[in-house]
Amino acid sequence: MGKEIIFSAHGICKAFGPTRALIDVDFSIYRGEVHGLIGENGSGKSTFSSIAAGAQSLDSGTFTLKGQPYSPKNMVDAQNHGIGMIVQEQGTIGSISVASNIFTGRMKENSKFGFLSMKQLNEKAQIILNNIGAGDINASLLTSSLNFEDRKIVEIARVMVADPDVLIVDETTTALAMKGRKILYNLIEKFKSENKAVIFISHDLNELIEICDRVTVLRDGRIIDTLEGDNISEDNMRRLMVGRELDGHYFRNDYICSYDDEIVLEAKQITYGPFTNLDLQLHKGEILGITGLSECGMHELGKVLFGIEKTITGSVTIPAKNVEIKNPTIAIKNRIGYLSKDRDRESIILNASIKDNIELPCMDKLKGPLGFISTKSERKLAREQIEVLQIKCRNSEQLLTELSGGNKQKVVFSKWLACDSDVLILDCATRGIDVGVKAAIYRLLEDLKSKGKSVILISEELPEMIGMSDRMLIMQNGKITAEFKRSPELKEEDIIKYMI
Amino acid sequence: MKYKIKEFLLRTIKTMIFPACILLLFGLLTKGQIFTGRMIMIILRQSVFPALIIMAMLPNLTLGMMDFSIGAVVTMSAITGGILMNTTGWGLPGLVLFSLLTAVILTTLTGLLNNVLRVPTLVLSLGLMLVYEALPSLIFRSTSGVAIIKVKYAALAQPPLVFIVFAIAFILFYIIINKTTYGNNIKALGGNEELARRAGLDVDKIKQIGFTISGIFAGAAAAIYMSNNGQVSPNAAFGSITTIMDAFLGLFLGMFLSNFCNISIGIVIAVVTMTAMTNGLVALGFDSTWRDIIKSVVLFILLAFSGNQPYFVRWRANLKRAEEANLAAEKAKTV
Repeated sequence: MGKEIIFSAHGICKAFGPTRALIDVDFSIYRGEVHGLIGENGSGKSTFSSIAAGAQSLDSGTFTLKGQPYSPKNMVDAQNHGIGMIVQEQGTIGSISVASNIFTGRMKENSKFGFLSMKQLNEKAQIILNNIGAGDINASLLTSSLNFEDRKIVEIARVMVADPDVLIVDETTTALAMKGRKILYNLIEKFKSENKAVIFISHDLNELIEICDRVTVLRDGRIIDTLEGDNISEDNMRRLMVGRELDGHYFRNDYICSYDDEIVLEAKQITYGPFTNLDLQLHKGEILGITGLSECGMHELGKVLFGIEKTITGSVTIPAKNVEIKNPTIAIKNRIGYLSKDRDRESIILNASIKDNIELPCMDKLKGPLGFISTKSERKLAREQIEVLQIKCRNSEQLLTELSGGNKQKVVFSKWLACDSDVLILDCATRGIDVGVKAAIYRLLEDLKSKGKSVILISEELPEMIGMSDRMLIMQNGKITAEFKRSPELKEEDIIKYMI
Repeated sequence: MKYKIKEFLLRTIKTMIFPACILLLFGLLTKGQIFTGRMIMIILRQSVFPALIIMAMLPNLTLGMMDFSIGAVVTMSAITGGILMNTTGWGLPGLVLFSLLTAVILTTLTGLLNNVLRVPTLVLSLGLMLVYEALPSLIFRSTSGVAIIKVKYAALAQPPLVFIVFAIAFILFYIIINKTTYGNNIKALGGNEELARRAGLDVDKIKQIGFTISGIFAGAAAAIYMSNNGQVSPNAAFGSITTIMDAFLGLFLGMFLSNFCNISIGIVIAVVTMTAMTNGLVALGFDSTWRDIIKSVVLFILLAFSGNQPYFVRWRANLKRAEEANLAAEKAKTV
């Protein structure tokens, strides 16, 4: 029996002004298939999936769904036709209940003459949550009372309301911790077993290898190739995404744990959130990796080290200067930079220009003799950083909302490089970033290290930790359970047992 | 079950603690004057008008829009209702009907302009406030925009009619906010407009309906206003804002109380508290200027307290945590 195509796209084109986001894209997915869609940031994969899910309109081309022509008017229409999409950063509405969130836009189906039965709505929502394996989330609770992880799961449940035949998972796993990922993977398995289909978008190449039956590569809005079976390998995917062999090494190619004795940042007996009386030292020229499960306390640690959150006991200091980091102002004055895991909310101003974002922490540097900011030096600084980090943009006045995830991340880096930071605290610096930008960030970290700068690299990605860190601290439930030094023998399995 | 009862009691205490303190304080200061049967009735009666104004403002406020023109809508509707009642001779039903119709037409127009012009609601409503304030003088030239009704029509602002109007409005408001698809949609839209739009909600339609609904409550308030005052004159130069000033204070308190109880209940408790405070201050001999200052100060203190409450809670938790951490450190040293 031949495989049945459940969804296909023919000659899809989409342009945003002069930028051609999709050029004659042909794509198809079979019943019972998990089809990966990969590409660098800005390659067009999210544009394609959002058009298929009704979030955007297409310029030309056609879709076929279950043998019928398909042209969704909006996301609800797409869901009603059988296509649902889970996205990375959609969010939930905190001011309404979990059940209301799940059924937002579908209230009419659950009401009589405009009157709602909340009891019935809660029951239906609870059934959906139970079905996806999230029965521990109470549907009647106010959504703002849930933690970040559970709110992401509510987003998954929202998509499942219409019982889609084709599920699009757009870079969702990076936003999920263990519990959420497990739910999502189970859901994908369920789709396969029910002869439905999943379009899976991710930058995690190992995850793609593990999950996908086929992987289609997009580059600059065009389909480059579709890989199957043994051809789905990290090397092949990287090569096709970037369009060339990635120069030299991906992570660091040395295995020397090298840094000065000088301590540039020290935490003594600090207490906050999950951790109590924690000690930590960062040396000059060191890349210090901190890893663990998402809830281990490493993200909170990053915030305390930068002074965003106040430590309850102990202190964070720069010993050489005898300065205590009590808030971000002191941290920035003493050349400490911080990149948050929640980049769009905490590290950049989306509605401001690249120039405004870059110059924000280094206004003092731009002041003239009379204390006024010079427009010329503003532009020069922004231009330099755009050049150094090769930020893809029209000019320095372009708003950050218009940039891809990778380029936004580069702006955050350029912000701290522009003010010549000596210490960088990077929380999930490569989250949701394509391999090309990832490689560029790794080279940048190496370069910073060689210049004697120090980096704290907080991440859940063990290959990145092993590949980049001089020293690694493993955290579990707020405690440092192990410390590893850079070594060619160090394996992920050695670390995992101290994380769980 | 036990947990639910405990939670209910805790929420009730949290809801009632501030109003109870205010009532107790003014009860003591006025030596019980505000707790006499007559005063309680006056306070309840006076609470109806601001409560209706809050009901008129709340749907739009939930949608993130502050409509400052409501005061002018109330004045215009009261004048129109009064004059048309006299003209038609329809009595109180006429007053209610014409006030409601005028208010609904005006707020619907505000909503329409809000959706068409796409200027911030704050700016639009300030502009419309001036227009609506000028309308009575332009339309009812023969009376210079002034409406005067006979004393017998004051019955609408007196018990039991005033409480019947309030009861109908409250039930309607409660049902709209808590039991309808629309109520759920405005909460969703107010929480995250972009997400609600993506989920297929018709944002413009929801906003438009919000304005129209606000007209119903503004119309009811206008009828009470006309009935209570007997004579209503047009305002000028943003003067209509004073009509809704008392409601504003109640609105903020109501929103604070909604952290612990249903917003519909919260606004009723809030306006009763604010009206009791006003009457307490009158009994203590404060003139209107000082009354406004004192009420505003009390409200600022309340908002500062509510806004900083998470910090107080965290500060207390941190103190406890620091103690535990220090003990653990001592223990570790000993070991």
